[in-house]
Amino acid sequence: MTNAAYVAGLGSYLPACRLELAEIAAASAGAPRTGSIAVCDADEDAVTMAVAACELAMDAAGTPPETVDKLVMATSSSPFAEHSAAAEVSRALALRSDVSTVDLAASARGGILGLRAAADAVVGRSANRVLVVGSDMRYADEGSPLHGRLGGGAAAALIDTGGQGIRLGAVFSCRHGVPSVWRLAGAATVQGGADPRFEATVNAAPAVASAVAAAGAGGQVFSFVAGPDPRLAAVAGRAAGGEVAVVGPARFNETGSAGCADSLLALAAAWSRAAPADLGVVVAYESGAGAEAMVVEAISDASTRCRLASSPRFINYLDYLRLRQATQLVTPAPAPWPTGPEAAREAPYVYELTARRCRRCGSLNFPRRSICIDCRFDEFDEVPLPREGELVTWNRQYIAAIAPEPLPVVIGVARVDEAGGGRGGQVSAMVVASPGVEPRIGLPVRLVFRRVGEESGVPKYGWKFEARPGKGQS
Amino acid sequence: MSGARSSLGVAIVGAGMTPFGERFDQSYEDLLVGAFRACVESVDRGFDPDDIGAAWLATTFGSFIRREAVTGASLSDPLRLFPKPVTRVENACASGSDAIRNAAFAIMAGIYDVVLVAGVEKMRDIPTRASLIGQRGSVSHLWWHARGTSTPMLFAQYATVQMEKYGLSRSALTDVVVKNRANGILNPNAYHTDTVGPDDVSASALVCSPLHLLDCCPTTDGAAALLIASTDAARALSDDVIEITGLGLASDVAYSHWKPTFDGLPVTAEAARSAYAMAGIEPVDVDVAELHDCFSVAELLAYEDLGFCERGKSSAFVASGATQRTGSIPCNPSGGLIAKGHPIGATGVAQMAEVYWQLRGEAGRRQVGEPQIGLTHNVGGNGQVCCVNIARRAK
Repeated sequence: MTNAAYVAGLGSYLPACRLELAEIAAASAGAPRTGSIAVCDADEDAVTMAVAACELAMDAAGTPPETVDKLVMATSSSPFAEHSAAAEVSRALALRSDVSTVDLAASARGGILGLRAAADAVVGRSANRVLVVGSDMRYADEGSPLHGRLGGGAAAALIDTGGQGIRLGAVFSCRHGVPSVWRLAGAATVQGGADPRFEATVNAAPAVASAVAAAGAGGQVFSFVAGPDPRLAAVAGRAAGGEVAVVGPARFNETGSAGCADSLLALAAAWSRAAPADLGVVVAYESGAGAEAMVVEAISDASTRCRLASSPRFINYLDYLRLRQATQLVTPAPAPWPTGPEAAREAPYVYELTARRCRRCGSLNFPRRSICIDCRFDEFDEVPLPREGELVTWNRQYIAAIAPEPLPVVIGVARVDEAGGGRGGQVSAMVVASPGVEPRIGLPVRLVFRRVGEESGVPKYGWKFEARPGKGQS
Repeated sequence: MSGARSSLGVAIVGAGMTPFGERFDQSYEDLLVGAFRACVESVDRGFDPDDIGAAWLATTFGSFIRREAVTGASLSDPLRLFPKPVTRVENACASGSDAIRNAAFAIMAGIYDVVLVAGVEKMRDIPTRASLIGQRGSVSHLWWHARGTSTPMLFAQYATVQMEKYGLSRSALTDVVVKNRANGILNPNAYHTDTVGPDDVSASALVCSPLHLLDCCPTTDGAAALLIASTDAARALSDDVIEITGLGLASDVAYSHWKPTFDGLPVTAEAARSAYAMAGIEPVDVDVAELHDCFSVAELLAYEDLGFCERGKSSAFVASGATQRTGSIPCNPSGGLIAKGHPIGATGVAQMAEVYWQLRGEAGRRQVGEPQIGLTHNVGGNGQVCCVNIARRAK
């Protein structure tokens, strides 16, 4: 253990759907542009992407969920104006129930604020391991300068004092509070963004300059500046002076700006090309608040501690509009009955995916039961439900509209890997559409966390199957 | 359950039903009264409703659609039977057959001489898509059923596996639909009054692969009623006594992912085993059968689970014509659920009414010769429960 904070593992999740900027240009008769933005599917949002990124970060750090003490969730696009997205994510990750959950909202600088909060917590010993996640899905109106620049994505970092990964240093702020980028309460789209150079020059550059001045006093030289947009990071890079590499988020031109995820995504990109002992600065701006610059030092090689998930598929502009519509909640109908008690009772099992394994016959009972489905014995060990398996039956269903998923939907039953039982060991779930993959008996699948519609207007989350490469397949 | 008994001492002395369908002009109570009147009037030597000792009401949807509690009073009140004891039976789509089974037990116990079994459902006062069946995927707030699960899917799951494992053919599903729709036009109580061809089935909308719209039974209103009596009482009331000789009910898991296989319904096999044993017969002895063809694949599974053909051989069996009205074991001469409709609680009661009429030679244009032994097969849920009942002409 050290007296400094480190990124022990980093994970990023980019939604698969991509819209080429040429589609936007064609739809709005604008000038052709190259590149694309990443867009949430109908069953994805800031919460589901955060779960996927956190799983990868914990995996990269080799940290089991029960050892995480704190979760800091940064998002400017939570599906909830009130209700903790951090708590929702921590439940899906099966973190301990006494975990501290913190929500950082309302500004795209939340990624760095989250890293700062996590570093303070582990250095101050109020927590040993902290998950920080930045996750956003942002939309802009047609005609806005932000249209085509904003996208979706999530990135998460596991912070500890283990001395490996990336060392987190001081944060330098430049606060002006001018609403250069904003979203009004209740509005679906982000406004502003008319003058990116103002952002870079007035906000980012001074913050970076402060970091440079502080580091320079110690005789250190920066190797890289990582920011949300490489074009703007260049301005900040000049403030750093010298031969500084300017790095944007990985595949920025493919994904667009993902708000709170950007600085973490940029950190991942910078890390992947940094040498040990390289010093850098990560910048967050275009947040409508000012800018934050965080000094970082690469300690370990990124290859084993950085996990990226992305498998793009391209959609057209009509699909994009449909998805944008699907993710906007309408005024909820009054609840016919409360489901809170049941949700609280069953969450450890159906939400956190805890199964029971019979101590006599080994059958994996999921969801929980008190008497074994196979042998009627009544003593169990609680074990994590295996996340991967193979379909034993499936159907494509064309009826019973169940927004947000467009029909038809595929529903399947899978036998999960290495699970005992004749009746036990199986799970039912919807199967996420994977272009080019036709469901079949024996299809290898894994469980992914997604939106599963609304209940009385409240987003409901759960698990679905997604096709995965099987043994002997690419 | 031990082996065959010489006689259960239980008989059917009257049967009646309303036409099934979109009965927009009929209330829940109107339907019950209609089936009851037809049933009482059918008794050979007349019957006074004062002589009813007790009654069982099979109904499932009342609570959901009427948004009020359904009790025995929902039968007792419109028929003015009070203060007679009336029990409501709800066991999903098998409610009707299970009500018959429980009523028969009361006769076997010697408590009553004559009892009434009625089944009723009022499903078409709301659009199909708003019904519990149509909307189940979106109203279910539990996680146990996969989101999006629908009733057709619960049976389509078996079709997927049967196709993979045994080469069940799409044409076998179509054969069931075409057969039952052809039978249905001979039944004045059936909802569908037209035949369909193979092309019509494949041209109808996909509902849940591989099931098309015409593979699915229609959502309908309707009621059916039976008078069940001790054989002693029956001999005084009836010219042609039909005995109930076998009663079998089995249960299985509530949720799909706890099924060990998807190539058949263990509940059908187990309910049939009990009923065959009680009646002292083999599958080959059955002369006419009313099967639970809520979806075409369900009838094919029933052939195998009831022992009419071997596992995996249902495609060839239906193609052979064995289950046509002229075949060796006519199945669903009434048109089945596919042609007649499926008012949940009424279905099992109407199945036994059809067997009663067939055994008495009263089935009109759809009569299948001179059957001596008839069977009803009534599945609840996706094989959560199944009731198999057997009747025969008294020797």
